[in-house]
Amino acid sequence: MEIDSELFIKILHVNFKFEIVDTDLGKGLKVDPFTAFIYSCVTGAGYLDNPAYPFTPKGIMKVFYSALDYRFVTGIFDNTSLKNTPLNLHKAKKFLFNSDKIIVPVEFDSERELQKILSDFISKQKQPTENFVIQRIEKSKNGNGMEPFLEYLACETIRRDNFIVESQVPLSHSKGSPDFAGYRFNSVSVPFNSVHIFELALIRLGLSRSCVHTSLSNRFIVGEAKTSTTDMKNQLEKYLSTNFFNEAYEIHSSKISPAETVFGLITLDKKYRVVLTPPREKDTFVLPEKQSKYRDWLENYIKYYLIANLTNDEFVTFYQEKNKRKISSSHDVVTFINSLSYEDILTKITEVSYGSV
Amino acid sequence: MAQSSDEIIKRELIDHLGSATGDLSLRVFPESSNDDQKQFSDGGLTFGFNGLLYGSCDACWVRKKDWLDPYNKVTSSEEPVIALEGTDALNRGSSGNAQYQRFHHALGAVKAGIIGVYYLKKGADKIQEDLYEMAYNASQIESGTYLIIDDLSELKTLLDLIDDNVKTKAFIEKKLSVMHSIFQKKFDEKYGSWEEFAKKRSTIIKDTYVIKYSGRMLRNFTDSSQRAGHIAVGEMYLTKYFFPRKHVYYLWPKMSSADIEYLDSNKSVDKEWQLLRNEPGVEIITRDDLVGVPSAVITQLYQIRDEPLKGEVLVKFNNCMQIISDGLRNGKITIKTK
Repeated sequence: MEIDSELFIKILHVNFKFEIVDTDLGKGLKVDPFTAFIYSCVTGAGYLDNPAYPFTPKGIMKVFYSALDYRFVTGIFDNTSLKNTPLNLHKAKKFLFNSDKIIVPVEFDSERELQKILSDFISKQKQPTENFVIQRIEKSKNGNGMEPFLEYLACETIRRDNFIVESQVPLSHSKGSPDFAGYRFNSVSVPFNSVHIFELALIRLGLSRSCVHTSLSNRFIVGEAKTSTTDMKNQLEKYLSTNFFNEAYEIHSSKISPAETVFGLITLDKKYRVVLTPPREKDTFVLPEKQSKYRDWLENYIKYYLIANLTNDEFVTFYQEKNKRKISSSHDVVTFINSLSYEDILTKITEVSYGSV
Repeated sequence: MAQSSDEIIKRELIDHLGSATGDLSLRVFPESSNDDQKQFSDGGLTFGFNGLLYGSCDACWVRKKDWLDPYNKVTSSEEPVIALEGTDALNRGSSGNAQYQRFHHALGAVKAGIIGVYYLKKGADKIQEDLYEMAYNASQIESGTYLIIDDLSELKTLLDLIDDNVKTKAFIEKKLSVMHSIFQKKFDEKYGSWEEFAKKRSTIIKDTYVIKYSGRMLRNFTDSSQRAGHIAVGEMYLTKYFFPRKHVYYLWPKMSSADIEYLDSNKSVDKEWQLLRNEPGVEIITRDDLVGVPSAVITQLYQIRDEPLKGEVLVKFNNCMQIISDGLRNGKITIKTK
């Protein structure tokens, strides 16, 4: 099943009840600004602020190169400073959270064709066009280039089962970067679930999702999305060989069954609904000791997205309050953030948002 | 995955320079697109000259005007004005020859007769001074202009001046002069003379030609993880544009003519291999192309042909190369004429 514009609209409408609207670019889906931001972060669909290179926050809010490691990539942090946080993005691009957005699929065969379509559209609009989020549907590619869209579907599906979800996951250079992962913790140890991990950086901007109380034990899942092939076995086996994950999922728009009994499958049925089939064999690869180290790292990893609710000045002040000296290296930043509890950080966010608690 | 170097550069271009300046619009594609690999006249960002394609650029400012593409003699309805290859390498630990590896991307545009810009975003590392001279000399012998920049405000100034030929020419001449001065200052400090340069940089300088030698082996080009193609291309262009009016022999003594033939057969669509084999004024030669090399040296080179240059192998290679380079300098070893 190749996902074209028509199918795209049906899938999102059926699964998430987004309202279908008409636009000069064709049918689109109206969503609130946070949903649009999450959608753009995962899929790379761009806000139409210019026809050449529409803005997307995809890839700019990462934290670390790999799991079990605390070396920063340029993303949320740039060396010792908070850089690409949603708060900073909001200051630079007010359109991100100011009003509802319309996600519009646009099919094209060449980049020049797409740029002409978007230029012509922009020239005819009387209002700024940043409220349109353009989903590229690249007809020249196998699968129309819709793998990130499948990642979004997987994330949204798994999120509802009390997982913190992530796409394009930091794992390791040798194993690669999984398309998708889900982390479920006992809510006593980690009081967050049912979110994309970067949503934890949107608290200050008004996003709230309630944490479902759960005493379930930790569970970590991983997935790989494909559109041009049905073969995900090698990659999933690599991810499972880390011994971190309890389950692995193939993500494909029209596969009927997974390649192995140890894999689950996320796919679409004939009525465009996302269907999740769990693996018949679970927990085959996980090793408690290795998973425990991964869990410890994840529990720290989450803190960096929470810290991203602060401005850089607030973060520097927070550091100095606790350490009585200035930040001198990224090692200082890491040591500091890892030492904080979730309560410490949430209290600080409340304090800077509303005054002292 | 975090944002790639290319994404960081493209986003910076849009944020600082916008998608249009005057009558120029920006041709730029997202990371996920393959359209940059297409020739310019086919809607892409790849330039070439006389049938030889160079690396793809990240962006190009274009205007609506017919332009005859010198690569394939096809007329495009858009004229390229400034093509840019950018990198975040200076923030990613690329302090050495990794900077040269992208030099040929904007070079295609320069050969096509337009302004090519290699933008290395400011970072912890500095721009290697060699790059400035490579670009300066490319500007002297090619039909376009090659600029090396680390500050987009320079590019903004150029874009603002571009419709004024006199001011644009003055800007370019001044920039090229600064580039040459940066290189010359460093060269004088580090080497003092071309003879000293030659000794330290595995180069033999003659009146009408130079020989650059290195320890390349077949596996460097057949194993994609080794990235030797990128390194070799960078080295080739450094030598070519340091000696822009001399013929360049690029000597790989660990390799044989048969190795080159194998690569010619198996890498016919590899862009970098095609550049190595077809760049005007450059000739790849192996131990089989040398006359007068002692048989013991030939035997030694054959024995270490597949071994990485380290430890004892490096010692053997260096010993062989001392004999060969001395011979090439004093005429006891010569290059076969073809």
